[in-house]
Amino acid sequence: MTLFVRRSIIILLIISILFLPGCWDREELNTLAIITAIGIDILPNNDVEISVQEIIPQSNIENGGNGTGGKKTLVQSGVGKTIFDAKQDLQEKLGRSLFWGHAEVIIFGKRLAEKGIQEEIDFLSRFPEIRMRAKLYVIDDPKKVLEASPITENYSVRPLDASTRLGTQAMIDLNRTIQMLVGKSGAFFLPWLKISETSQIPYIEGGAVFKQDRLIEQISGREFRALLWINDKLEAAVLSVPLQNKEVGVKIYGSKTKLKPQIKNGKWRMLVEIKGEDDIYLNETGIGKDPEFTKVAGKAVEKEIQKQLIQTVSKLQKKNVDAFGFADAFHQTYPHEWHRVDWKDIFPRLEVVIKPQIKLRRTGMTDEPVGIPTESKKKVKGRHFFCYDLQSITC
Amino acid sequence: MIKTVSHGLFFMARKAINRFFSMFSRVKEKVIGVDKRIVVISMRKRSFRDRRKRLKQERIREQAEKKLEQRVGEVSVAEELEVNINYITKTLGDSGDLITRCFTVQATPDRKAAVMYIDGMADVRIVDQFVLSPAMTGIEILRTKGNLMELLQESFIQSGEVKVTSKMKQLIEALLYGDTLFFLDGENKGIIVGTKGWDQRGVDEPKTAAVIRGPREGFTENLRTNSALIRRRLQDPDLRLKSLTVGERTKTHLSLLYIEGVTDQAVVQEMEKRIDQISIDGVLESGYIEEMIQDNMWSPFPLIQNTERPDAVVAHLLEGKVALLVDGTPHVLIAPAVFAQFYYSPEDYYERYLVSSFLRFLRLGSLVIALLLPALYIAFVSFHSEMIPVKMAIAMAAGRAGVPFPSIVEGLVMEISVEVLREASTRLPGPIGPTIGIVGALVIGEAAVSAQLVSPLMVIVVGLTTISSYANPNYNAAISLRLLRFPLMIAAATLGLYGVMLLLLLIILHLVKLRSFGVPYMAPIAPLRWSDLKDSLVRVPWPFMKKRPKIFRPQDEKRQQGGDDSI
Repeated sequence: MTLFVRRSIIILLIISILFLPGCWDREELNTLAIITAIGIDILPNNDVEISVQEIIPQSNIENGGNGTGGKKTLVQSGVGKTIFDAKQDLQEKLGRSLFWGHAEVIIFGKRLAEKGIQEEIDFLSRFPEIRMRAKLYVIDDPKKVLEASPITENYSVRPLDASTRLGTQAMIDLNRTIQMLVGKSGAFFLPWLKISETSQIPYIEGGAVFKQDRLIEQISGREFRALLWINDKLEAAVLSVPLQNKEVGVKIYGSKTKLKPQIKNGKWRMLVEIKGEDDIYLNETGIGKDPEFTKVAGKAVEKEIQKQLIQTVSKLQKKNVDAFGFADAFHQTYPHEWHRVDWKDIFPRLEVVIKPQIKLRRTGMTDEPVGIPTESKKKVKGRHFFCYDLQSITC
Repeated sequence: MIKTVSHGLFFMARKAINRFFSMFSRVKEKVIGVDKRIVVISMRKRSFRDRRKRLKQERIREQAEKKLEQRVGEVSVAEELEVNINYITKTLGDSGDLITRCFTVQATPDRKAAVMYIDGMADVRIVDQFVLSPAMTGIEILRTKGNLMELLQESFIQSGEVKVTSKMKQLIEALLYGDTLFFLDGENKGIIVGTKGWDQRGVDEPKTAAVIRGPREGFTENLRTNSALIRRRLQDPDLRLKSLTVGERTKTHLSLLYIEGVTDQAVVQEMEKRIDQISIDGVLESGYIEEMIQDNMWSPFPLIQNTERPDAVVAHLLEGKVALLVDGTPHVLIAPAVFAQFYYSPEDYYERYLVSSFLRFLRLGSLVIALLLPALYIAFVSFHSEMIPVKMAIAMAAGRAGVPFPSIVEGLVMEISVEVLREASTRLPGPIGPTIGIVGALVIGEAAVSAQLVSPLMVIVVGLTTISSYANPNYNAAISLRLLRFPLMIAAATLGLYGVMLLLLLIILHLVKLRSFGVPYMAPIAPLRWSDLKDSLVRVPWPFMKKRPKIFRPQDEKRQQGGDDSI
């Protein structure tokens, strides 16, 4: 065999490597059904229904750039005994192959949540095409969210992303849900959605607390915020704090929560330390830039936080659902003691101490409340005089 | 048992891999001797096929020489004037542009003489004024036969370049190179008078590698003009200029330039050796030489740089490289060359360092775009839809909604049509070229989108790719990248990103393996030379470049005061 023949065989083999194995899983972008949201619910006859929001690809050239170019999304559903059957049913109804990679939102129906979502979570965590970063929500009827067509957005679940970006709400993704589900407490929570009547935009109204895989309690927005706060999921919060029978509006940001479990003399205690900063946005009290005021206002803010958080904690303690992650904290700090007790007995009687430390950073653009004549004016005059004096000295 | 089998398999695989990669290069470097800096580059043992080819070449050369021997050979100049004239006329086949002027010296009837030159090659004014006129009228006395020849040579022929020879071959070669021959009856010698003076293009601004700041002079087709342009910039007595001739029939003159004491002598020797091995009938452009002396003729990457700029040549000479001037072309070859230098513009050294460093980053970016963008587009659209951001995926799906072809066909059609447009606009006569380019790109692009043959994004991708490939200051390097784009696109369409990575790895392996006259092609990055990185992706200010780049193994590393320090 001459060198030439040998070389050409090698080259032929290399070229065939390029052509033989490729192409079989090639799927062009325009032959896919791009899904942005998935809704899972259960029908009265116990069949699982999976609905998807499919994007109808439209370019601006086609509809002449006149914004209202018809529907932008299409909702399709599949029904089956299990979620997997339902998915297969849906796939067969659709002409295109489903593409789950861009599904950012998974919404569970209330009925399904009450029955238990273990099967669905198991499927979602196994199925490789689903993103682990997909966000999970609960609503009465998931189809409504998928079918909603807000005028300002291309597709209805888009604004959900924006609200979590503000920091006043937090998203719970699939990954986090699975982590919470396999945690020691066996409880987790998801945001509860509602659709605005006027704009058709879905928003987070409250929360859904799950024990194991079942929906136990629907909680309000304030309680949901408390839940997020203790779980260190909240970045910013807007509070109205009562002070001297008037209101002070503050925005808390950069909040960090630390859970410090303690066992002293056989007594279990949970210390929740919250550190953060706040700005004053509204001041009805009439107290101006008084050093005392920052102290008083700070105390009031801390008291309000304590009140709100304790309310939520005691509510869930009554239900014996530990959605705060206390169980994991205790397990990590006291592994030996943990195995000796049953958490179910401990949690309802657990002493929870909330210890917020919020620093007042900025009082806004003005010192004194605008439009309230008080004796503080004198103070201001005095300050001006002082400034003048200072100038004359330096000159 | 299993162990021995696996061992055997391992060695076989290693052998196969070695053989596979050694296919791509035919030069191996060996370091011998006490002085480690002398690198002897030896040709790899030639294969059977090469040997057969060489034998055939030798046979052809022998035949050609024999033929030349028959025609010219060692024929000496005869004493009789008539015989000489007849011989030359016959050798040139009674050529129409050969001018023979017979006359008598100073009106002495027994002193017959003749002047021969080729019309157009020799400057007729010089022949008339300084050769014919003094010989015909100026000589007052002397009748001795022997002295007249000497006198003519010494006093009467008023030219700076006069040579006496009795070899007919030499005379004919000089005649064909524009010189004038002077024969005297009764003398068995001829005088060669330097009268080269054909029409030529003046020194002009170079068409390729234009710069904003920097000299505007470019090389011309004339070898001597070119070497003078270099000499004028490099008035160094150590500048060496070796004249060589290549081409059995064209007798193309080459000049090998280097600075003695700076350039690595091994490179000069290797260059001379490789040029010596060339045997071809004609050399019309430096590209002939380039292909015949480069280390790896199968590589898509240029291993020898060419430039039209004398300032660039001088800069390379100062870095310890060798320049090869070829008569008849403004493109001067520079060797050894590394990959990075094809992305440098001479302007990088004239412009302030921040600007030129930024431009080099820009060129690197455009290199990546020119090579990868269409392949990445195809890979993402065909295989990795989840890697595109959601909103963009929707827009892309919308753009591709009506397109009947898979993205690879779309991409190939667009890329090829752009290449066709580019080729057509370079061939079209001057003022029409750019017009056709604009018409073609705009009209065809727009029409293709509205006819839904291609998606709008593909047009953007193709446009960006084409423009990016032109951001490269060296045309030949840009072309090689444009070629590599197509296999990358096919790899992306068959195996997705995995295929792109696979092919990129192959290309990088190949690049690392390449050598140009013993210098690793990817230097100073692989192998890493820290001190040479000063002039790579960034160019540091001149005061910090105290030494010449080490990768070219200069004999004298010092470039500035303080350059002989350790760092």
